[in-house]
Amino acid sequence: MKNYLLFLTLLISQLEMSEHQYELLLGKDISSITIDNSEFIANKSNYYSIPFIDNPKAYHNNYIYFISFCTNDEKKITEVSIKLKTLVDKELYTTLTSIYGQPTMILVPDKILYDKTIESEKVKATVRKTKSKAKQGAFEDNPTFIIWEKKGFKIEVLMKYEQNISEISFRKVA
Amino acid sequence: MKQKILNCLKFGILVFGISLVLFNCQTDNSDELIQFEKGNNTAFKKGKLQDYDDLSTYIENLKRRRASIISSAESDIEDAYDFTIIQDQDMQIYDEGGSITYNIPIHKTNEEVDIFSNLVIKFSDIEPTQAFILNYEPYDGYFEDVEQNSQTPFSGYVSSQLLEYDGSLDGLAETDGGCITVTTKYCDWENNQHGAVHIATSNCTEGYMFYVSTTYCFGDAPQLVDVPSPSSSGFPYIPSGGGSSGDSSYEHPVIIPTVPSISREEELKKSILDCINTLSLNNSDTTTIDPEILEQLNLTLRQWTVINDSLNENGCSEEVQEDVIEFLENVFVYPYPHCSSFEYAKPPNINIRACAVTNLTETFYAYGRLNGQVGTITATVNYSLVFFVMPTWMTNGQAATSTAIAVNNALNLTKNWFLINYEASESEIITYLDFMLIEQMALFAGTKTDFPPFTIPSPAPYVTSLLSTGNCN
Repeated sequence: MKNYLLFLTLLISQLEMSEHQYELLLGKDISSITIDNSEFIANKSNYYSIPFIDNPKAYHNNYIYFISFCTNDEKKITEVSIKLKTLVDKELYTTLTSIYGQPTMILVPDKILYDKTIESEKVKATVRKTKSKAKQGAFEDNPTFIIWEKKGFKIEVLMKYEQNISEISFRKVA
Repeated sequence: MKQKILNCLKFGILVFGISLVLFNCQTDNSDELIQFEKGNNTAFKKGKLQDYDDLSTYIENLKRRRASIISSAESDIEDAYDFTIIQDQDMQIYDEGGSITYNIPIHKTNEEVDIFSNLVIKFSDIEPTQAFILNYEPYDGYFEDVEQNSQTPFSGYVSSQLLEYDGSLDGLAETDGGCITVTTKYCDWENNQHGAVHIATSNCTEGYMFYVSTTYCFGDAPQLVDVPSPSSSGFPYIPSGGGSSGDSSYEHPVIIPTVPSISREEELKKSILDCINTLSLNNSDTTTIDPEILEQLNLTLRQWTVINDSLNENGCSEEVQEDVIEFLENVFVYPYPHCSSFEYAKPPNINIRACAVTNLTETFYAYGRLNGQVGTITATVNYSLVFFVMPTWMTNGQAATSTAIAVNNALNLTKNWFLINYEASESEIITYLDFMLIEQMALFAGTKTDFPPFTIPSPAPYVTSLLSTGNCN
């Protein structure tokens, strides 16, 4: 537990130094940010997560309740994903555009092209898959995805309106 | 990237193959392991009060007499002794050797939510009728364990309460020097050998039943009762052929702790509402919740208990009230699987710890090229009923906490996979998620199955949380 708290403290201090720019962690060895692998239960899947339960981490005008890291087999971070307490609002969107510029795509679901529900025979579950044509829109059009494609990395904002939350993923690209 | 995906697929196929083998092995073993108790002890019965005319009449007389006493008593006496019988719940009955004991679930006015009470009445052909109240204050987790397995043996504190009655009917509440001696019958049949001790009922196999008699004195402090161990304590097994030949326990009322199930949920909801809407109400406490929200939620007893405990342990603080309200208002739409969804149980005679969850649902999102144009794709997976198994060395709480982490990780891994593989078919999506659930559960030495490892009568609804997967340890 002490190691875990130490890691959290060090990680938070590192992140604060980077002014919330989580893309700066991409490509780094996960152990270099003082993560003791043994503390992570799911490390066999190259997936690491930390909930900020009692002390949500500030992210601009919002709060992070959960952060997860994906690594490659060499334990280099390939993705950092943060889950925010609420949807990204106009203020945060403006802040992000001031840092990363105008987004490459703002995807607003449009006409439904495909909607199918199947009942799995192997597993007792149903799956409903829908595909929608997406139109380029503005922030005010309630987009599902806002994407910035930058050199060496990509930022994806996922807006989950039904849950009133949002996720921001920073992914390394070749 | 291609190499990585290939490696992932190979690993997935390997895990699936191993899981399939393990699961098949487990299923086979289960057939051997799970042998149900098939005794036939006709002395144990269940029934509702309205089906027993003599008992109903007796209780009517009892209450009428009590009413006259209570009306002239102090108000605190009324609170302490007033009770209502829960009519629509089965009583536990023991009928043998010319005597019959009824264990009747009751709801006492102002009783704390962690305590339950039974009215115990014993009719006998040769002895005066006995009637008294037993108050049970069980260990943490007992209510949840009983919900999963009604034969969970009671341990905790027990006190007796004399019914304030003048004794004009049948020598009612006759006691021996202000004390009453009661008998509890236990059974330790497990896979055709002596094993885990549980409360004896009609299915207890002859030769595996033993009894313990305890004396409670009215007005004394609650007495600690633990689960007895026949091997170490030398309690006599009741020989085959029943109690009348070698068992004198029928001389005492035979008690079977009976949790008033329906009222307890209402009590918990009332306690939660009192905490949020009434207690600590001052200028700074403006937090309230619409009682209708609680009525609309179909949570289990354990889930209500967790919420109630979190409020009480923090003195109904404003901060926790707000957290609870947020949780209740969004219990089915928040992003993290909460550990209270996973109500593990290990029946006394089965070497498996498992839980059942209904409506485990998650939606995955992606975007990509669809017929040459950019589009958005969603996939919503719903398990109407799914089972998780964890090692028996874990506690129920540890198993629940670990399962929530495993499910959360499986969902997140599937989310990442779907972003890249949005063209996957519906079957491939569910297959991948299933791989991930099995793989992540395997990291905790558990598994996920579509088949019940044993009968789980009350699957818990899938509950999510805004904050985290929670800690149910």
